[in-house]
Amino acid sequence: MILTKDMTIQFGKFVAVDHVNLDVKRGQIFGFLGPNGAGKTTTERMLCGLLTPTYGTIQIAGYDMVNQAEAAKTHIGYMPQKFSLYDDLKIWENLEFFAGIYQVPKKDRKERIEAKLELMQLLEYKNRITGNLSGGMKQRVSLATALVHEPPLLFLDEPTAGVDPALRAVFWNYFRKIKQSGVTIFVNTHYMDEAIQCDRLGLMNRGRLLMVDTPEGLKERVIGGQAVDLWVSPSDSAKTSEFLKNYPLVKRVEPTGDKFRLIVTDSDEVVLELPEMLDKAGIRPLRIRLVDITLDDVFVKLIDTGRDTRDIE
Amino acid sequence: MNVERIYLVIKKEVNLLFRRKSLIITALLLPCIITLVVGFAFTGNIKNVPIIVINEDKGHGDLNYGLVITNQLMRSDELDVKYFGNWLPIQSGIDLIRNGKYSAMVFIPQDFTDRLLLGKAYVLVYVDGSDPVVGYTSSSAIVTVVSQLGSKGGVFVQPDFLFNTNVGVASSSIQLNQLRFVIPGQVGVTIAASLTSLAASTIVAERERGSFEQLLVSPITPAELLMGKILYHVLLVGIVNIVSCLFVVTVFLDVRIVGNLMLVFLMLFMYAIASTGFGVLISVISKSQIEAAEIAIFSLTFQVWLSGIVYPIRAMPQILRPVAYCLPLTYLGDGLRALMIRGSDFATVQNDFIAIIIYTVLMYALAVHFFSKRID
Repeated sequence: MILTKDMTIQFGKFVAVDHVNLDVKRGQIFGFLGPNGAGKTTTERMLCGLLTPTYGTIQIAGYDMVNQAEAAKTHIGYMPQKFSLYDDLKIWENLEFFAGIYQVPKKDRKERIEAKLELMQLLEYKNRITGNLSGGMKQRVSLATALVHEPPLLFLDEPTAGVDPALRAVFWNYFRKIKQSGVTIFVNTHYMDEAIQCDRLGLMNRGRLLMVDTPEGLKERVIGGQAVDLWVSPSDSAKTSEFLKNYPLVKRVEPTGDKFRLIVTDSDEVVLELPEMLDKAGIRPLRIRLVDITLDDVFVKLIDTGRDTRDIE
Repeated sequence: MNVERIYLVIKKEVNLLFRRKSLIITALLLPCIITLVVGFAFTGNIKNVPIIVINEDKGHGDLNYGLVITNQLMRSDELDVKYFGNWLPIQSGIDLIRNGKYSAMVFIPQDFTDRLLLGKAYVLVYVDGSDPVVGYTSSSAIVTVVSQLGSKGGVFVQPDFLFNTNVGVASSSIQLNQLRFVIPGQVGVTIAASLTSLAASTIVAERERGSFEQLLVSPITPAELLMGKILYHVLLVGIVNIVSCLFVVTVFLDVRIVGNLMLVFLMLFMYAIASTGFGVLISVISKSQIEAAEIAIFSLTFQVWLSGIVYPIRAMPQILRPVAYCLPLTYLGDGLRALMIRGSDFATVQNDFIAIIIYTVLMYALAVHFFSKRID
C-alpha cells in the first residue's frame, strides 16, 4: 500500500528525513513512533503529497506520489494534526464539500455522508456549526471527512494529541472498525499505549527509520530479552558487579542508580535461582523484582542509542 | 504601565520583521519607492496634446491670419497640431475627439482675416471635457496663442467643453463638472480596492488558520481552487459592487452615462476579474495576511497615481509611461471615460478591453504557477 525507496527530504542543509525505506502492507495499522522533531510529520506529509521528497521514490496504492500525485491522492484520506476544516460551515456542509472535491458520485453522497457520521456518532449533530464544537468532536468530524470518499489508505497525524484518555480509547475503537472494513491505516503517535495496538511499528529518530517490527518483536530486538531488577546495599555494590559478570544466565547488566537491571533469556528461572546464588557469593539482596518491559523502555533505549552514535560521529 | 514589557513587545516585532525578509520589502521599502516614483511622475509638464486645426479662412489679399494662427499653434510645445485646412466638417472633428484621437479642435471661420481687420474676429475652440487636466491645458495654450493676435484688433475665443454637461459659455468663466472627470476613475479604483483586498486575504488566511491541509491532500488542483476563489469574488462581490456603484453614480450623483450601459458594465466586469486575479496572486505569494494587505494597498496606491486617472500619462516623464501602460487601471480609466462621458463606440475601447483581458489571464496563470510551488 505504501512503498518508499530511499525517501529523503532536505531543508537547506538540514536532512529532515534520511533515506527511509517503508513497506506498509494492505489492511495493517502501521504505527509511526518517534520523539518530537524526529521527522514523523514530515514523513507523513511526503507520503500525502504535501511535500516533495528531495530524493527517492514514494508509491501509494501503486501510484507514484511525485508524478501521479492527483491519482494517488484519490486513494488516501488524511486527518491532519491541526483541525483543518471550515469553522463557519456546518458538520454536514464540511463533509458535503469534501465529498464533492473527491467526486463521490452524486447519488451516493447523502448515504455516504450519513454512514460516516453514523460511524463517528455524529449524525444527530450534523447541523451544528463546526467552529462551536468541542475539540474531541472536531477530531471526529475531521476523521469522518477523511473517510467520506472511502479511501483504501488513511493517514492520521497524531490523531489523539490533546484528547483525554477515555476519548483516546474511543478513537482507537473507531480505528479498529475502520481497519476491519479493509482500510490500511498509517498513524503517527508518541503514545506508547496506542503504539501497542498497532500491527507493525516503525521507530524514527533524527530523520532515520531505526527499526520496523511488531510491538513484541521490537521489545525482543531492542531490549534483547526479559528483565529482572536487583537492589543491593551500597557496600555490596562492587562485589555484586563482579559476581554478575560471571553469572551465566545474565546476558547483559545495566546499572542504573541504586539498582542493577539484568537482561536475561528467562526471567522466571533467574528470579527463582538468583537469591541462592547471591547468598553463596556472600551478597545480601535487598529486593528482586520481575520487570514488565514496556514500549517506553524500547523507545528510550533506541533513542539513547541513536543519540550515542550521533555523538560519536 | 510596564515599560519593559512594551520594550519586549517592540523587540519581538523587530525580530519577526527581520526573520520575514519579504515583509521588510513591503513594510519598509515600498512606501518610499512609491513616493519616489509617483513624485517623479508629477515633475513633467503636459506636452504635445494632439489637436485639430480647421482653417477655412479665405484671407484678405496677401494676408491670411488663419495661417498665422496655425503656424503659431504648431510652434507651441504644449500642442501637437494636425492641420486639416478647410475640408474637414466641424462635426467630423468632434467625432475624432469623441474617439479619443484628439483632445481639442480650433475652428477658424472663412471671414477670419476680414473680421480681424475690422477688430471683431472670433475662433471656435472645442475641448475634450472628459479629461480635466488635458482639457484645461490645451484650452489655455490655444487661448494664449490666439490672444497674441489681439493687438491686431482683438480675437474672441470661445472654448466649448465637449461631453461635459455643465459647461459655461463665457470664456472668462469656464465651469467644468469636476464630478464627470472623476467618476470613471473613481468607480474603477473602488472596485479594484474592494476585490483586490478581499481576494488578497483569501488563500493566505486559510493557510494561516491551518484550514488548508485537508484540502491540499485532496485531488483538487491549484487551477481549480484558484478559479473557484476568483469566480466567487467576481460573481458575488464583483457584480454587487459594479451594479451598486453605477446606481449611485447615475441616481445620486446625477452623472448621466452617455455611452452604451452594457459596454460600461462589461468593461467593469472584466476589470473586476482582473482585480480579483491580482488579489489571488498576492494571496498566493504572501506569507501572512498582513503582508498580503500591505501589498494590496500599496499596489493600489501606485495604480491610482500612475494610471492617468488623476494625472495624465502624457504629462509624465517619458521613461515612466511604459509603467503606466502596464497598469490595468490605465485601460479601465481610458475606456470608461470614453464610454461613460464621451459616448464612444466599441471600436474606440476595444484595445482597452484586450489589455484588461491579457492582464486577467496573466494574473491567473501566475497565481496558479506560484501556488503549485508553494504547497511545498
